[in-house]
Amino acid sequence: MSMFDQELECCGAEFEKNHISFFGLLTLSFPVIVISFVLLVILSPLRLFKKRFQILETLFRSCMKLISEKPLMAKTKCSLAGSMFKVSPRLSGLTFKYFNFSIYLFVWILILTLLKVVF
Amino acid sequence: MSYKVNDIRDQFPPFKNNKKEFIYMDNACTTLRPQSVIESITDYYNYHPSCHNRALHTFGKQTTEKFSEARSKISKFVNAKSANEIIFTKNTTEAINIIAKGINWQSGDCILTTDMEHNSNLLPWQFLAKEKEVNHLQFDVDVYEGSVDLSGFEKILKENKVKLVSFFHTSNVSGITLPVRKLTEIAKKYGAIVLVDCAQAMITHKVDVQDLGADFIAFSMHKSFGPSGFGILYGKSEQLELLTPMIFGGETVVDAYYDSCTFSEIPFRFEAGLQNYSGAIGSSAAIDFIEDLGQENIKAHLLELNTLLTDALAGEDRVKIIGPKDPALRPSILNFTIENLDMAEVSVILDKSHRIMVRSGVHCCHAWYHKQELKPTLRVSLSVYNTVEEIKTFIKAITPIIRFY
Repeated sequence: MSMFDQELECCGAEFEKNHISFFGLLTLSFPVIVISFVLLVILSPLRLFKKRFQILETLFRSCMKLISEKPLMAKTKCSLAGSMFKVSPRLSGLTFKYFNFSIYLFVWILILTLLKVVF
Repeated sequence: MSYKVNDIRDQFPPFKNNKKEFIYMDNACTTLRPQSVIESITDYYNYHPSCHNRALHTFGKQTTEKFSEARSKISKFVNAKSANEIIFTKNTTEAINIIAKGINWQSGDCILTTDMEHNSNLLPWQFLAKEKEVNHLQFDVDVYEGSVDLSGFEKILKENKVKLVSFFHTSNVSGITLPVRKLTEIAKKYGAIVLVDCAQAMITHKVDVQDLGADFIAFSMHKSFGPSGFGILYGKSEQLELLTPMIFGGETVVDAYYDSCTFSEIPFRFEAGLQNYSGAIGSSAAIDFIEDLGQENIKAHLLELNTLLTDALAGEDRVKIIGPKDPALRPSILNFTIENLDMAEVSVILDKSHRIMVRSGVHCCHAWYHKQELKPTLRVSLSVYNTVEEIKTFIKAITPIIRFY
């Protein structure tokens, strides 16, 4: 496979492409983010366990990065971020950064709602 | 002359015809065309849309006259000794392929190019090396210094049987310009034929083929305000006489039997079939446009814009410029990447938010990007109609992307 991790046209490039599984991110990375976030919040007053915090933080950040790097509806993400840009570049940046996370959050909410309805 | 950018912009219809304002900075791919070029193209179709040479009627004569005028204009533009040294092609790529297919290669011959050629000046040699017993060698270009190791270049020529040296004049990736005259001089010392890809050079450099000493130069007109699908191959008469045409057909012969033919004189033997008349006529108008502005004036304008752009981006930690820091070494191009961002996405956001059109990708230079282990980058390429205000808008758009995305 090309090192570009991207489908290339002759001159330009399509959006980045990688092979991180959607299912893996949904069932592993997303729960890790939620759990590590909750633990970080709970343990935040306990400054004594600095090293443990670092591990949690690293876990949180790396899973967030994995999710944000997954190419998911890239054109929609860019269009949305682009159209928000003139309103607020910061808001546009947040939309861009957390677009994928929102999708996973939405999917989890959908799954939990369905489970609730079924059982 | 003083450079009045608003007067220049008035000559380009897309600025008037598009209701929404836009910023076009993908000029290394293709420039916009001025009204004069568009009119000269439509004049051909509106007034004398016929063949040249073979037709002896009124329209035919008019087309022949305009077509010949275009050849003479282009010949003077590059200071060729004769208009017959100008061959009309589809583009630079076709011109380079004519050389690749036309030279009488011998086993063991070598072709030497830089390591950052456009695919147009890489693939013809790559395939030639596969088809015939010839070798394709490369010499390194230091893209961050904008320089070439001339002694290393000479060493390759000394140690190998290099038949042809082919290199870009100005890079479409970084905008740097090679020391063409010096490279040609060294190559000639070792008896090599020299081909220069001038596709990116014609707007900002006065390309004088006699001064450069190259045997062949190739360029496309769409990067120089001319029509799409029209290119030029200049060749010294004595070199053109040695080339075998790549394609055969009407106009390439003066006589034919079932089993033999007599070729036409140069350049006609290389121009098979009905020609792109409107392309030639439009190119002639494009050259008038460039000469009216003056390449030095254009270069100074681009440098002013590029300096503004470079100064704004150079201080950003996440930005890496693919080229020398000094914009004077790459006046028309700023190619860069932002750490941890997909530049294709950035280009879409720029377009969506500000209608800024720039190019993301590897710019037809895949092999070099592989070698440098570089991901696709964002290229801003400037032209005569870009303004300081447009550059300020670009900076205003890209800075939050660098900081908040």
